[in-house]
Amino acid sequence: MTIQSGALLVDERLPAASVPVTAGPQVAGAGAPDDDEIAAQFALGGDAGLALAYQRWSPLVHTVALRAVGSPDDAADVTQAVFVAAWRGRNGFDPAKGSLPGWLLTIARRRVADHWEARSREARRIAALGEPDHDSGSAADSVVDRVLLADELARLGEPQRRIMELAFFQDLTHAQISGVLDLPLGTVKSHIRRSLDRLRTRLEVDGVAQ
Amino acid sequence: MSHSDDEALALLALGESVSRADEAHVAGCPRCQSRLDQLSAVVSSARAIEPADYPTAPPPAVWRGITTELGMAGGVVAPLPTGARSGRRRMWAVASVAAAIGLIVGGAGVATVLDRQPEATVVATAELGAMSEAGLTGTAVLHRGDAGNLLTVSIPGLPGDVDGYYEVWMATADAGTMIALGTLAPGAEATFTLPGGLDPAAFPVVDVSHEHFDGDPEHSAESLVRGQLQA
Repeated sequence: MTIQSGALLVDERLPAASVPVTAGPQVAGAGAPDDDEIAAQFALGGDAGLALAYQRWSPLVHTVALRAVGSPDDAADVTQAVFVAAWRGRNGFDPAKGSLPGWLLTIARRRVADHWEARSREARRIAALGEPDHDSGSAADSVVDRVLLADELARLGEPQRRIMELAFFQDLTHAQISGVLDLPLGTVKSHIRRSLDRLRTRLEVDGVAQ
Repeated sequence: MSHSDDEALALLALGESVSRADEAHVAGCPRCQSRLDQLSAVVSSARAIEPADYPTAPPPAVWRGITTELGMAGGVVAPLPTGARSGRRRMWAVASVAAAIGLIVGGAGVATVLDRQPEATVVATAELGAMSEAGLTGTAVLHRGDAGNLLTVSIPGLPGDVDGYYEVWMATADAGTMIALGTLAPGAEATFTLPGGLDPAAFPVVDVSHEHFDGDPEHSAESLVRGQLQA
């Protein structure tokens, strides 16, 4: 008997390592600052602000880059370019106007577009080809949405996360989920409503403005 | 009539059917329709999520590149709370590689571990429940012996003609952080030495996955069995 890949009941989208495995910046101090504190520190311009922002959001930026440009080396270059550009241009970041991850992802999206632009210029030079047909803009937008939603899903507590995975990936109805997880129908319904709202809010706050 | 409640809209967005009254209302109500459109967009993006969309940290060289490019001294570096967690995971990766090398280099090491087993005390056990359509189940037993903590995993009927291999993991309760203990051969139980310093209480979930020879060291997201260790 062969194990069929994809023929799973649950946890198909289990993140292998959503916890940043980084030998990157590590910032002294007790207690993890929340997102707003990190953004405030970043805007203030101390070195720790950059390190904290990198620690917290480099997985998001890196994964968007990886999914949008394909090659791990290029994704690493894009990630580096995003944080360097963000730091040099930090005066342009206003915490009152938007979230820091949203701002970082806007820069990432631009860097991804630059990457494809450079690629197609090169291709035109080498092969004297016509217009490139890579639609990097909208592709990058949908990558950003998926990565943000995956990140937020991974942050939902249990049983919310399991409920949403069953609803999204296994297409179970709330009644079936209630049976599988042995939870009252009303509980499942209200978790679905609240989690869906939380996911929508995350896209609104950190997503790339359309 | 009043606007449809948010639960009905959430269920509609997921493609479920709701009461006829709710359906009729939403069809004729611009406000509910626009809210439903927003939620439906979230659902369709979420359903397109692939395993590779879950955020993964960039390689360490990226941070070095940033600090070099910005001319920052290495002085920014000191431990952060989450850093301690990831550091532990790194240590594990090293330890499990070392364990794998140990297994390959010296069969004698395995014999030593097995010899000691009878003296080991059972600390906790886990019933491993089916996580795939194959419907396999198994058991995991955590022992404390002279050599440290040992985990014995047994899955009767584990197929041998697998495309890839099986890997044993210990995970935090939310399965957010997973540590690879090693590979599991079909047909026999296997005992793994837990790296010293790993607190089994912090990683109570035992998971066996189906992995592919793709060079990707992370969990394939194809779990065969999973269970929680209980004293």
